[in-house]
Amino acid sequence: MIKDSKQYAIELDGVIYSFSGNRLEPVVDLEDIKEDIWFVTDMQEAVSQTMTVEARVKYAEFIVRKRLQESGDFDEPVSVFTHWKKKKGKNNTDIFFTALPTRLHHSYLDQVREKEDSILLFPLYSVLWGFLKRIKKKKPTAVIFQHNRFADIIIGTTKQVYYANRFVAFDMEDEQISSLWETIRANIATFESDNRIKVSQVFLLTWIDSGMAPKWPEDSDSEFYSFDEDAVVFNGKKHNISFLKAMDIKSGTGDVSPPKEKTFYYARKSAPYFNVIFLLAALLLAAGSFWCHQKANLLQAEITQLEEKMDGIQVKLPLDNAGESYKDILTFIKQLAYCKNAPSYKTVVNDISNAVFSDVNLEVLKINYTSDDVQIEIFGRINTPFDVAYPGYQNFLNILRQRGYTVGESRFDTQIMASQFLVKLVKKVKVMG
Amino acid sequence: MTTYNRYFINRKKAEVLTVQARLQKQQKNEAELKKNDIFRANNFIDRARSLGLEENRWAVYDINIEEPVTFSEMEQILNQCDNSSGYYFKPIIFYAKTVQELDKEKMKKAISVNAKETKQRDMLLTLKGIFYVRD
Repeated sequence: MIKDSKQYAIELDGVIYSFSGNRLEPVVDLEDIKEDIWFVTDMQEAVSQTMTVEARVKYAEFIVRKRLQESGDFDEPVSVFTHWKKKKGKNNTDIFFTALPTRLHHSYLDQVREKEDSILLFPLYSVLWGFLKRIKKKKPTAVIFQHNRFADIIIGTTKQVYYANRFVAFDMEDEQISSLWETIRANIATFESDNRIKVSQVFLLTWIDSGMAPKWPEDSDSEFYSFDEDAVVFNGKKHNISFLKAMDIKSGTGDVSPPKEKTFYYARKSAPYFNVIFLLAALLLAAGSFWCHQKANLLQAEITQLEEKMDGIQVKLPLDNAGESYKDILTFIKQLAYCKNAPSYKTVVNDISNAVFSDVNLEVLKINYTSDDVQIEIFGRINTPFDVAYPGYQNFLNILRQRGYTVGESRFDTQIMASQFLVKLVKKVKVMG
Repeated sequence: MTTYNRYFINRKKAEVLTVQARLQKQQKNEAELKKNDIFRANNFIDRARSLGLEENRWAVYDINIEEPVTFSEMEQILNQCDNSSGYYFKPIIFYAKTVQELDKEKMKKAISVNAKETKQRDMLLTLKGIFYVRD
C-alpha cells in the first residue's frame, strides 16, 4: 500500500477531518468524502485503558464489560475493542482495550454501512499502540498525543502495554495546558513508583491545535522527544504536526470494522491488480492458444511427412534358406582346416626326437588333440650323472619352447647317477575363425 | 482447450510415429545386413560346392590302433598318418610306451604262443584318428 494513495478521515474532539496528500480539511460528515477511507477516531465517549482481570484470555472482554458497568463508568451496555491481551498467571489476563457505549458503537457501524464507499475503522488508541510497536523500544516508553485540551497517553514496550489513559484540561489556556502536562508527569511518576517500572523515553505526537511542546524538566529520568513532523495545509495555513506521520499505518491491523466491510475494502483495493492479472492471464491464454495452434499445424505437417516416409520404407525380410547347408559346409571345412593346421604325429615326434639328447630313454609319449591345442606328456629316464643330465634336460625344454611348445608342467627327479623326468607341453592349433 | 487438445494429440502422434519410423528404418537396415550376409553365405556355399568341399563327397575312415609295434612299423604308421594330396588326416590320440627288456621277453613269448610271429616289439602304440578322402 502506498501512503499517498490512501484517503484518511480523522475524528478528534468531535470534529471530522479529511486528509489526503498534504491537505487536511474539516468535513461535516463522512459522506462528504467520496472515496474508500481509513477512519481514525477517538470515539467521543470512549475509554481506553489497561486492566488485569480474573478470567481466562478467552473471556477477558466479558469480565471487562461487567466490571465497567459495575464500576459505574458506563450506565448502559458497553462494547469493548481489544487492542492487546496476554495471559498472566494461571487464571488472570492483562488486557488493553477501548470501551464505548454500544449505542455509539452501533452509530459508527451504521456510518460505515451507510457509506457507499468502504471504511476501515481505527480507534485512536490502536493507532498509538501501532506507533509504539513501530518505534521498537525494548524499554518502557510513553507516547503522548496532545490535541485540543486532551492528552492521550500509552506506556509500554513493543510487546506489552502497561498503562493507557486520557487527560483533560479545563480549557485551552496556556496555564491549563501547562497544568495538564504537570498532571501527565505526575501520573508517569506515580506509574513508575507503583509498578517499579522506569519510563526511559517519552514521545510527543502533535495535532494542529497542540500548541507549543512543553518544557520537559531537565532533571527528569525520562528523555523527551517530539516525533518528526510533517507539514500539512489546513484552512490555507501550514501546520507542522507529527500525528499524521505517526498514523502512517502500514496495514489494516487494529481496525474494528465488520469483516464484510474489510472484505469489500480490500476487494476494491485489489481490483485493479486482479484486473491486470486477469488481463495478463487472458493475454497469456491467447498467446498460448496461438502458440498451440501454430505448433499443432507444424506437428501435423511433421506427421504427414513421417507417414509418407514410413510408406516409402519397404522392409523385405530375406528368406533364411541358406542357413542349414551353410552351417554343414562350414563345419566340414573347419574340420579340414583343423587337419591342415594341426601338427601331425610325425611332426610332434620329430620335434621331440630332435630336442632329446643322448643317454635319454623316452619311455612314455602321450599326444592328445583338443579343438584348439595339442597336449603332450613325455616321461623319460636319463642314465647319466646329474651334472650332465640336468643341463641336457634344460636344453631339451629350451629347444621345444623354440619350436612353439609351452611347458605346462616339468618334474625332474634325480638319484645322481640316474634321473627321470615328466614334462607336459601344449601347442596351440590355429583354428579357422 | 480444443487447440491445446489438438496440439497435445498431434505431439503424442508425432512422438509415436517418430519412434515407429526409427524402428522401421532400423528393421530395414537389419534386413539389408541380413540380405548381405545371406548373399555372402550363398557365394561361400557355391564356391565350396565348386571345390567339392561337401561332406557327402568325402569318405571318412576312422583309425584305431592299439598294439605293440616295432620302431620301423611305427615310422611307417607315422608317415601314413599325415595330410597328403589325396586325403586329410585328423589326429586325435597318440600314446607310445617303450617296452623294457624284461617286458620284451614276456611279450615275445606271448606272441609266440598265439602266433608264429617272433619279431621283437619295441613299443606299445595307441593311435586314433580320421582320414578324410575325396570320393
